[in-house]
Amino acid sequence: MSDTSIIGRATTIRGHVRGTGAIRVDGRVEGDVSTDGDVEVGPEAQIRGSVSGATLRVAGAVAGDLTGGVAVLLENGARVVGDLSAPRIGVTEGALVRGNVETGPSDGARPAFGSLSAVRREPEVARVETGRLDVGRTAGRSVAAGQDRRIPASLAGGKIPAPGAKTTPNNDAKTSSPTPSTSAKETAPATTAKTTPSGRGKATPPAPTRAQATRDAPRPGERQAAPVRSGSVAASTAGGRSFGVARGQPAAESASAREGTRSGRIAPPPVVPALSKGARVRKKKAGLR
Amino acid sequence: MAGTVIGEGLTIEGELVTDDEVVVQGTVRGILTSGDVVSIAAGGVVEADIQAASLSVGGQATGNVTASDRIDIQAGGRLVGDVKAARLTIADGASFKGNVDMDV
Repeated sequence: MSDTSIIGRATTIRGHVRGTGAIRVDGRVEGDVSTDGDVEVGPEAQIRGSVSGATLRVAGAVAGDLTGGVAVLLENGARVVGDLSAPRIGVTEGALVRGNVETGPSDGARPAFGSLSAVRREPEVARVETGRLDVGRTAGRSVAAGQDRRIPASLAGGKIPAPGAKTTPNNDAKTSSPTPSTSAKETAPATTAKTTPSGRGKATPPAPTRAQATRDAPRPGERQAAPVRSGSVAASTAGGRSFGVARGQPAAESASAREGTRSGRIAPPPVVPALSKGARVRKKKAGLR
Repeated sequence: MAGTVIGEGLTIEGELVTDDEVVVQGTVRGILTSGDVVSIAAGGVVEADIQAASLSVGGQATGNVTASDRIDIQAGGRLVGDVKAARLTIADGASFKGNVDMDV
């Protein structure tokens, strides 16, 4: 008993833990753990560093290599990102591993069953956190991939586009509808060309931020409907550039876009809605009105 | 059962932070912070600044100690460093070298 060490649940160690005797880890260790005794990593433990001992029994999270003089046993709930090596290795169902696994004598006589990863994915925890962060960040600024996906949804309701920050076009759209149009291209695939270029052709945008239309040149004859459309288009540019999403709700968006333009409000991003024929027609009508 | 036990033969070099009770039978070098009781058992060695609710020294401690509640240096215990605590006891047979600030 006296030679068993316990890193309790509420305990964090930054640094190395080494010595003799058994160790049970229920808390956090940011550093290597090494002993000549057994190591037990509890379900709630988090270790960032390599772990070595006689028999390692892991039910928690380890980001680092596991080296057992006798055995490495991963239990249900274990999450390991790192290499495993020991004469005996056991991976129970429900354990996640990402890394190289080598069993048997350490002389390397046997070929390793190379990255016998039970499951190839990040620890769930990490993933969840990322998601949450994205959401938080998104609201305010930055045009991250994840963000765009969300914007259109809110815009569908005809509300002011969220991402005011990064997008200059947005403001432009507000003040002078014909102006911006700018990028749109990034957003819209070739097909969209019809809607967008018109706006661009007409206006010389103060060249905000985004890359200017790359793929398509403005097509002649498209100009007529320009002002109205460009307004909405520009806004859309500002709002979202994700194809999938926009395409998902063309009707709603274009509708709101129209509204926005008329009312002088910032129009939400119809962008790709132009892809759908119906949307385009409707738009045109709007323009002519 | 104590929350965290640094067993005999084990050495921690770095920072140990916890809300749990800590029992040191081995060695800790660096920083030791606990929201609870820290006891350094006979044979335990701590070379660290210690912050705790209360500290009991039966082994050897070197470093400055701040305790929100109390510090007890037991017979056979040895503490070298400045001490800040509301209450302090030094048992007969204990050794201590340092300044004491009892926040009078």
